[in-house]
Amino acid sequence: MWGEAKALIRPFYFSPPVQRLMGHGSRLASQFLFEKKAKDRLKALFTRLPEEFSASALSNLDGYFEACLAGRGVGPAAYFEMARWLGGGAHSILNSPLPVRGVPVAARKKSAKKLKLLFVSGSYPSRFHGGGLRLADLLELLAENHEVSLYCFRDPASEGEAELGEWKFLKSLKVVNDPISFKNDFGSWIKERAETPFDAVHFMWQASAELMPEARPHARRLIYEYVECVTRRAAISLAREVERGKGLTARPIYDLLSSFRLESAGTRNADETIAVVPQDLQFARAVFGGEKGQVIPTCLSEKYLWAHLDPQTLPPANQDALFLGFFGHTPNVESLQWYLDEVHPRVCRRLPAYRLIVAGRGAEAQVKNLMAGVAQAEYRGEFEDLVQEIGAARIGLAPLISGAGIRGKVNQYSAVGRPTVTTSIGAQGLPYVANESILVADSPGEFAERVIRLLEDQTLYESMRGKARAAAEQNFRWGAFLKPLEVIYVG
Amino acid sequence: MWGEAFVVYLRFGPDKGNLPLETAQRLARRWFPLAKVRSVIVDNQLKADIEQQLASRTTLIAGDNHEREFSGYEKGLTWLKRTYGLAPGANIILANDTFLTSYGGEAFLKDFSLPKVQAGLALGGMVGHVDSYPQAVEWEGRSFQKWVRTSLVVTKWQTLEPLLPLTLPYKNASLFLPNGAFFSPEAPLSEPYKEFVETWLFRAASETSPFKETWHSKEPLTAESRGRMQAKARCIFCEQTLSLRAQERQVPLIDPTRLSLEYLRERLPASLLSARKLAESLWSAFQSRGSREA
Repeated sequence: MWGEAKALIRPFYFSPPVQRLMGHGSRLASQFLFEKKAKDRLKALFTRLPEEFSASALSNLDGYFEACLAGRGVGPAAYFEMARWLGGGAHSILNSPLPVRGVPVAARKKSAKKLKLLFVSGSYPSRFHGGGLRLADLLELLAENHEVSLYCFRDPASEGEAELGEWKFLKSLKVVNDPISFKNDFGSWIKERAETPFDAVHFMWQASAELMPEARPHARRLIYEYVECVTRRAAISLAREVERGKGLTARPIYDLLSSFRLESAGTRNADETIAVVPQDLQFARAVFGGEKGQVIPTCLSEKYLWAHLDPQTLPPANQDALFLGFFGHTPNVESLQWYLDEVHPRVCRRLPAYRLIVAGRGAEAQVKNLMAGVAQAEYRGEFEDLVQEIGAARIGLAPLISGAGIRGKVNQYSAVGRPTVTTSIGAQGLPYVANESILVADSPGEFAERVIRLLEDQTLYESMRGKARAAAEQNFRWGAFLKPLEVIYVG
Repeated sequence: MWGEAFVVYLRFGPDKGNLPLETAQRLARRWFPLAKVRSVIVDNQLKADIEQQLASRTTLIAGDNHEREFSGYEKGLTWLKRTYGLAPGANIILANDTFLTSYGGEAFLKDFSLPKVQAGLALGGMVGHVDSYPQAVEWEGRSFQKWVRTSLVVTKWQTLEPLLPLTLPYKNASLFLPNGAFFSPEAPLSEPYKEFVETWLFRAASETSPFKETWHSKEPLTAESRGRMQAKARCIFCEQTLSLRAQERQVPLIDPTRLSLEYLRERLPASLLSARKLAESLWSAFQSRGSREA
């Protein structure tokens, strides 16, 4: 019976007239999508981007749109998505962030009392990725002196098994793993726990920005943290794609606009914002407007790094280069691909004993696929002990070609005494000095040359590892940043 | 058979592993094959206000250990009602993390078949392993002899809701003495009931007593063990008075290991039976179609 039914249905789904209709629909959508008005608004947004993006991106924007219009790499679904953003909603996206409901409560003076704090996060506290570890560290350290609660989204696909029972020190915890519940459940959840208002609600990641209006009646201060400024990340990716001029898709524009919508709303609704590197803060001020913002970097974990760091127990250094990353984060996958395609073969040709080690959680199948058949390379996946994993290598790699925020991996390598080779994107916002405590290169040839030099030159290696460790120790201990954070909460 | 099924799984920390929960969820899918099975794991070891969605239909929440599993079950039911609304016909499975070990493995579950459980629920009953005292005992002057074990019990929300709360309305001082005799003279139990509970917990059975069963963790009553014994006795009362209230409301206690399907079917109303036959024939046709396609 079902077989007959399928046979009846099939022609309707795949017949040429339907295909033509779908093609016509996508063409209409594309015309609607790239109408002049919407294009002008996008250009207006681009003029607000700092110089580093706007110069190259703007000069090629028209060609980019033409390529998208010709349908290269853009499917009907993307057209409709884009039509929704650029057509009907473009004006509201660019000019009217989410409305603020409720009445802001005046900030109080600084006090030494125990604060009632709530973190609202678009990601789960986890030791397996940088942002998750930042959240985990902040929760644990702040809970020593304050009443801390957490409401967060957890993506089981990228974050694996939940780490149960690690958050008993929290006053309240709610973790949801579907985005709809994340939005829908928040209002009633915070209301039930706000008999006395929260002193501060700290929103992390762009997805949490949509929940800010519902928190306003229950909090004295709303803090919005970019963690990684994803609008900046999207702008970097879009500028890069425009420059390359091949494999064009509508996705980067969509990412840019949706990130802009959320982060600009978060910025406007917040009493104070936090960025993890000065570059993100500078970008946010330029693009979202206003003068808000403080920089609180992602420091190294007392629990997972400093507490385990005993130079006596580190394995002997070998000829391995380590690429550490959470591969659920797209920039890490992009940088791994770039390194494997462009740099790794050059290093292999010169150093037969060199091995690339890739370790970290997330996108396991994708990373294995990238590394399939690559000589002198090993994928280790998830690991237990961060210090031992880093200590087993001789140098660290951070070949970032996209992304924003802070590169926690560079600090982790440095703290363990393993010097880093990175790109200028990877070094952004970090205090290491090029050629003294870090090596920086952007072209594949130069990057390979730096890797080889660091692996071969023992004097340079010893000098850099000491300076890198000192810089990490001096700049990335949480103790120095908890007070400034409390001041932000109190206002 | 269709509709919704909710597993309220009670645990004290994760030490017992996932097997009891997975077994309870498997049973729920067996008994309610067309229903959406949702689970709430109530962890009485967690003290903070914790709610963690573990899978699309499974959520972990912090429990309430003041009346051990019964306050935990109540917290789970309250959460389910607040989150999903709980329709009167919703199927509720209460299970704790010891239900497999306390029955010596999964063998006893073979009698908890779909037709038997469905027949028990159609009769408006509470389905589980039914225990009994050798003679009737009294609680607050109300007599009962049988009770259903709450380590695994299946029922409808419309049956369970009028029987709440699961916890006792008595403070410890109303039930127990701080030293000397175990029970307070004002405790609302008949003398045989006191004797049976004491025998189960700590006392040697008298030769004339008809009740000689003992608890696996039986130990002498001392100043040190008195608190533990009191807490355990409260759990016994919670479990048994639930069945007392059920029987007073004409809710049958149904033990699938002892009652045959024919016995249960004979008691189903004719209208339900014919509807059931129709449903079963449809189900059987659906299954045979599936096997043909395979």
